[in-house]
Amino acid sequence: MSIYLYVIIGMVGPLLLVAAMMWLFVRYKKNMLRQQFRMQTAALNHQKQLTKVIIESQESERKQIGKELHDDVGNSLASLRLFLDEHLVQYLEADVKAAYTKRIDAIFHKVRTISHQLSIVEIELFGLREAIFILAENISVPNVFEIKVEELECMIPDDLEYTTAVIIYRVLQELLTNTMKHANASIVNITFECMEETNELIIHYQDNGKGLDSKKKLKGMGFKNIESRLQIANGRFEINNAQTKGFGVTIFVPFNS
Amino acid sequence: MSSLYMRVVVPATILLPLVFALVRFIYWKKTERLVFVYLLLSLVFNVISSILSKKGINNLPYLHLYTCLECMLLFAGFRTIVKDVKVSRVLLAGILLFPVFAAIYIFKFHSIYQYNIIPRCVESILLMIAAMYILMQKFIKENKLVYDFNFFFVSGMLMYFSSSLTLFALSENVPKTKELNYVLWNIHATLVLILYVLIAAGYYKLRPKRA
Repeated sequence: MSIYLYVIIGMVGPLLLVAAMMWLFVRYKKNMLRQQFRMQTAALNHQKQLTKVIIESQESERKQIGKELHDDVGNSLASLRLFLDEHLVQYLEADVKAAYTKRIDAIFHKVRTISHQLSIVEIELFGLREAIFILAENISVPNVFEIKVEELECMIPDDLEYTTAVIIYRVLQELLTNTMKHANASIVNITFECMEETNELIIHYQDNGKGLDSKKKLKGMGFKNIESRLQIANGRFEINNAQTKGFGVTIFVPFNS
Repeated sequence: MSSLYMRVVVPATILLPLVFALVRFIYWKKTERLVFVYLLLSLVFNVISSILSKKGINNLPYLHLYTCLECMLLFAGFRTIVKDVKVSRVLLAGILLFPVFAAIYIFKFHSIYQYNIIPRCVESILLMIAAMYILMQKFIKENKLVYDFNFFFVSGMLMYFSSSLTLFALSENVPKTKELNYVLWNIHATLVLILYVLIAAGYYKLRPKRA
């Protein structure tokens, strides 16, 4: 009788042992993978936070520089003009006076433009919607380079968090800079639409330029900047692969980012 | 009842992995092909053994042949899973040397008409070691848990051979009481059933790889 018992134990025992070992291994592996995933998520969130802090401090610095440019340099240029008008006008001919006035005004205008680009005062004063329309107006050159901003079914929201609004503005600024530098385009269409199902703001950007060089696609610093900024707002972008001429990109930004 | 289970029901369950294999035919790779051949081999030898047993003819010579072929096929199957070149060579050596060892043992030291304890035990131990190695590599090296065909096939082999080793080793030593013999061989039949179900699950899991 006993040998049968040994054989039965010898058969059932290893079966249960192997099954138990497999179950333990699977559990251990699952726990390890879960932990790995948690660590990766934490590292990613930390990276996101760091990037957010860097970009926020960058914006803060730009705002400060923009303000100083506007207040100090702008005012200095205005005082210089007054001083020249007061003290030198009697010694100069009218056309010389007109020339220096024009040059000082041009410098003043440039300083003002740079300070506005740095500090994006428009978002603070008028909201994102107005800021985008002003940006489009400032950059457009009639019959040479036109920027059309359209709103489909919903208006550009004004109640987005300030950081998100700045991110959207900077992304569009970056795209427009790229178009002006590289694309040789004459028209840029920027369309805003709201996706209620996914609670996202979708921005379609399309120019009629020479398109993106496939070798340089997405490797440039500009795209890296766009990607980093959008990640802070939990957004993303997709390059449009449609067979239309020019360069197109679609940006997705959640409303509650 | 237990005779029906052992002689009919369990051998018939080999159709389960065979059918699943044929359904997933287009997703086969080398391992799945070899395992299918192994299942066909099992089916053929089961049928031969049953016929000979019913006619009162000693079917043990066929068991010796089956043991050699089974070991070679399973080693070949493991070889398609293993990535390490050295381990692959060891398995190749097993494919070539095991039949030689089994033949020498049977013709020189034993009888072809008696149960082949030693070759069966050696085969079980070698396959257990190979299966454990493959599963360890799978658990340690893979970045995610993948319950694929290889997992089910190798786990099934490990469970079957580790549990059956004791029976193979002691079967000649147990007194031949009909009822108690039935118990042991019914347990063996259940192990075979578990093996077939696991292989069937492995074939069921075959899917095209996502791009």
